[in-house]
Amino acid sequence: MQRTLVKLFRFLPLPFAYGCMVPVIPFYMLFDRRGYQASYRFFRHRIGRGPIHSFLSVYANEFRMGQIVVDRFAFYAGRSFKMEGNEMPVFNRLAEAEPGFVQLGSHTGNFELVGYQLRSIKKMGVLVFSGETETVMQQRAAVFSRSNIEMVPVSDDLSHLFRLNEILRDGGIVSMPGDRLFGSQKRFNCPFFGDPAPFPAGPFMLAAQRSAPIVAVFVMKEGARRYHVYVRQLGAELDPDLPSRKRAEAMAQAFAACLESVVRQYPTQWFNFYDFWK
Amino acid sequence: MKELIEEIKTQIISALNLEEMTPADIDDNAPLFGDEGLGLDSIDVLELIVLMEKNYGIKLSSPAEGKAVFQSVAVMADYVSKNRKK
Repeated sequence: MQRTLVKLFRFLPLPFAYGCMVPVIPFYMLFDRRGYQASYRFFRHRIGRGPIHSFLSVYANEFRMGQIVVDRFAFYAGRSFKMEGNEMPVFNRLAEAEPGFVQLGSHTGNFELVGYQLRSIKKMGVLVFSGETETVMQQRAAVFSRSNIEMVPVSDDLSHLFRLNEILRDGGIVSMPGDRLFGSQKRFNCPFFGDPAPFPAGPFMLAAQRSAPIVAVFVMKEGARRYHVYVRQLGAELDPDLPSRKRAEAMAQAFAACLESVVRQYPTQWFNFYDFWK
Repeated sequence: MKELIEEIKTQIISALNLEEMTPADIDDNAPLFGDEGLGLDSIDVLELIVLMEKNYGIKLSSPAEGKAVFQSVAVMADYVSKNRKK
């Protein structure tokens, strides 16, 4: 099915694919109650919209999610997207320096497209979840093989930690989500939309222990074939003599603040369809 | 060896921010991971990998190596004494 989709998107106009989703979204809203409720509460209580506006926002949220998935398959099929934004020098400066750094993504916008767009001579280790389907993994591998990117799957034997540490130590880039707990349940509770929310300790600890710079990257959809890329360095002003846990926590808080400001700008591109604050 | 064991315990307490513990609270032979012993988890493995590298110049690159080395403080000390580069 997914393989067919990749082939289809070589020819299918994107607006047509988006149009096909219009009648399908209400079924998602009806049958995925948990996702619907999480999304509705987000717009109602975190963004502060009225009941009808929140209901319509859930539709827009699901529609955006569908567009992101379509765009991902279109990208696998070889289609290109225009990337805008004037923060690329932040990434380029770090990519040209000798030490490695950590690049954080999130479940907002279309982070997956950025790994292919931010070119660097540095090796990049991308942490991926083994729960993805075989087709997605194969398509990713095909795209990655054309660049200096290595997929590092999360593994029960913790081999991903050894590999990520090695890549960072050798001056590479480590790319992972900054808004999802995986493996370890260690977390930093950071202020986020008015209440403390759990952010994974791992990515921030990895950067802090190795005294590596850390950047947050957001790739937000603005048009059918257009994205805006935001690159923010976190905690550059922190005292390097602070204990690594303190530095990691401060970076996690900086990430949460950054994520909140981007999500406030693009609320319908918030794709954590569960109670994020629990 | 006794001194090295104490040194490693102090480093673990500092790296993992186990402020409420003293070296005497850590059994030399207790398992570092799992429900018994210190009960460390995957993020702590990362801390220990970096600790070994920064303090002793030992680069661990596979889970099998890590599993063998991070069994207990006594095993860590033994490995450090045989493989340390600084």
